[in-house]
Amino acid sequence: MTSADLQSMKLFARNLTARADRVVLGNPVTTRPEDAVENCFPGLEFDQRNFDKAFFPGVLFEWHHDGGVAVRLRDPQGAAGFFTDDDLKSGVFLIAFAGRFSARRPGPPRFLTRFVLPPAGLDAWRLARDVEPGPLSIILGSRALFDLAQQSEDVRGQLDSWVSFNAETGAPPEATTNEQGQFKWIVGVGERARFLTSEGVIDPAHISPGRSLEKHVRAVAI
Amino acid sequence: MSAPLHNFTPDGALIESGAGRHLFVADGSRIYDLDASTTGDIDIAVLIEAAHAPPLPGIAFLRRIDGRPLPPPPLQTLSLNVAQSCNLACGYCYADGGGFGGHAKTMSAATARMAVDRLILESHPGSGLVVGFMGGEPFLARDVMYEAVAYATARAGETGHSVRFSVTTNGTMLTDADIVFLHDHSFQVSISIDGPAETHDRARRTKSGRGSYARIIDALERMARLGRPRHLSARATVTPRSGDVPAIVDHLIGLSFDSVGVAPVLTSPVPNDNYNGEDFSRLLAGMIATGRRTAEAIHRGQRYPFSNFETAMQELHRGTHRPYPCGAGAAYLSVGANGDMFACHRFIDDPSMRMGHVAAGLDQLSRERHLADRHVDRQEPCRSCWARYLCGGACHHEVIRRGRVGCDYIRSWLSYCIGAYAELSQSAPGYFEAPETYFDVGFSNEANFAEGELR
Repeated sequence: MTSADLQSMKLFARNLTARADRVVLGNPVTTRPEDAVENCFPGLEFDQRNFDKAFFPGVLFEWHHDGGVAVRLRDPQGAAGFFTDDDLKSGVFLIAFAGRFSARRPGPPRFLTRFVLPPAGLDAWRLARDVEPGPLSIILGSRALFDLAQQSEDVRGQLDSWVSFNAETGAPPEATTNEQGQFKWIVGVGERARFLTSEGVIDPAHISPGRSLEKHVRAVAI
Repeated sequence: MSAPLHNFTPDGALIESGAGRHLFVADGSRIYDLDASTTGDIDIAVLIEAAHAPPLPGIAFLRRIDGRPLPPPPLQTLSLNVAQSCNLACGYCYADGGGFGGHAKTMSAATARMAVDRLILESHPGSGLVVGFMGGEPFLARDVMYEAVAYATARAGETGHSVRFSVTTNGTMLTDADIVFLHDHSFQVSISIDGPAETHDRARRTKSGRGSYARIIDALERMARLGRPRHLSARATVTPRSGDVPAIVDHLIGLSFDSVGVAPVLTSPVPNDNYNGEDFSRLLAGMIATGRRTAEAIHRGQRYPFSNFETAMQELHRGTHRPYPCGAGAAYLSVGANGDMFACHRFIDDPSMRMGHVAAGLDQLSRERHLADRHVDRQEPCRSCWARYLCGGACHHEVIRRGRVGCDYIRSWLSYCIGAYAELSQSAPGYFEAPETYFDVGFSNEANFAEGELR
């Protein structure tokens, strides 16, 4: 039984739990039909969570993609020019990022590296959400490296040292390919994208009403 | 008689109604309609698999009830068995005439106050609380009731809780002052009345052998004059000898109760009063006939307050799913006359269900053990029953004392109710969207009662 077969079965929700079980595709996994804010007309979704898909300049992530956080769009003029649209089709995943995180206890934000572990989704979004404005370094990699990072603590340790070094020194992006020239991974450095003012409302200096998030990504090159 | 159940697995059932064919999914008590192209030779397991499919690739499907027992929650409701004695001698009584197998006892006012303090101490700050009065016949200890209500009202005011009161009574000892008291404190009153005079008096007699129906009617008439409580319900205990369920319910609704519920006897000390085998088939037929009468009334926009059906409709609409049949041992405990606390009012003085004392505190280990042992996913044969999260595993007291003798009856009743819900939610959607305003008289039957229509 394929997923297409399952989707072809016409099950029409009748009671409240059945209705609430339907997830609105394209919106965050927490979105339910009864959530008012996400139920704007398609294309006009004003869910602030969507902004965080572009938390790193020049790249648009999809929080839910086969257990990882995949790159959906890239700005070819920026560091993401190191990989191609064909690489995107094969899968380019967010593996880790290093930035300033607010401390749970009183004190200044701490510089930390966070790894994206499956199932990612809401947990990964929360990590990205918590990154304070300022320098931000990310590692994007192929599915193979993503899987390897989940399995090997040594690999994560090595990646941690690279992403931390680049974030602290501002070293330029570097990409690594395999012998066939296929993309393996890249460390990118930039500033955590800002969408909100310090009061937590949309900042018109960064967000233009009516401009799609995708256009916004392309406009903010690394 | 059985409802048209066509297919089932432990995870759900296919049910047919006048509105078509429906898939009931145990997880979340979800109800789906099937279209004509899906109703061929399809296997229910395939439909269940579709309903269990993760919302997106890579997102795990998580069961709403996963077998883990509920940790003991803060208390919300405490019932006080202020009088472990009764003026009636009903043969089917699970409490053995109110004494629970022991001597008649009355709770002291000091114990009642300690019980209120314990409830407040063990509750969530600022939460709404319920203090119930049970027995025996609680009005045999009306002074303790009055004292407890005054004390609970004052203490709740001091601590920022809200408190409501309920009482289950045989209705034969209510004085005018009692009726005013119940009205003034917005009680939820449940009166045990088994139907018309002949049926009722056959089962519910005084210890001298006299019937008790006339006294209840007298109390109802005085309530109409002096003031009704916030909610007035009738609880009809039925045995295989009670007669026709529709006639019983019709009679009681005619007495203008706000709701009428029917409860079959399963644990009577008198064997002939317990339901068995074919008795359940007759009971089911009567329940379904009464349910149909209720559904027809709802369809016409008229109230026919048969609470077994109405409660089922609202719970099915919400998709209520529960790992336990009730709150016993969880947010609800019951206090015996001497201050011992038990899982519920049916287990008074049963040492295996003792869960603390109002002075010494809660026995959390006993509560944890109860909630772990009684989880429906750990019960047999419940684990393989599609209706387990609607039923919750059936009354702990009845299951422990008698076993699960009514499962086929419960499943058939629920199958009927699911079909009836599918039909009603199409023909009368307003009943589910805004039940409190759907009927002209709302959910109270007071309008009829005030006109003195004691039919």
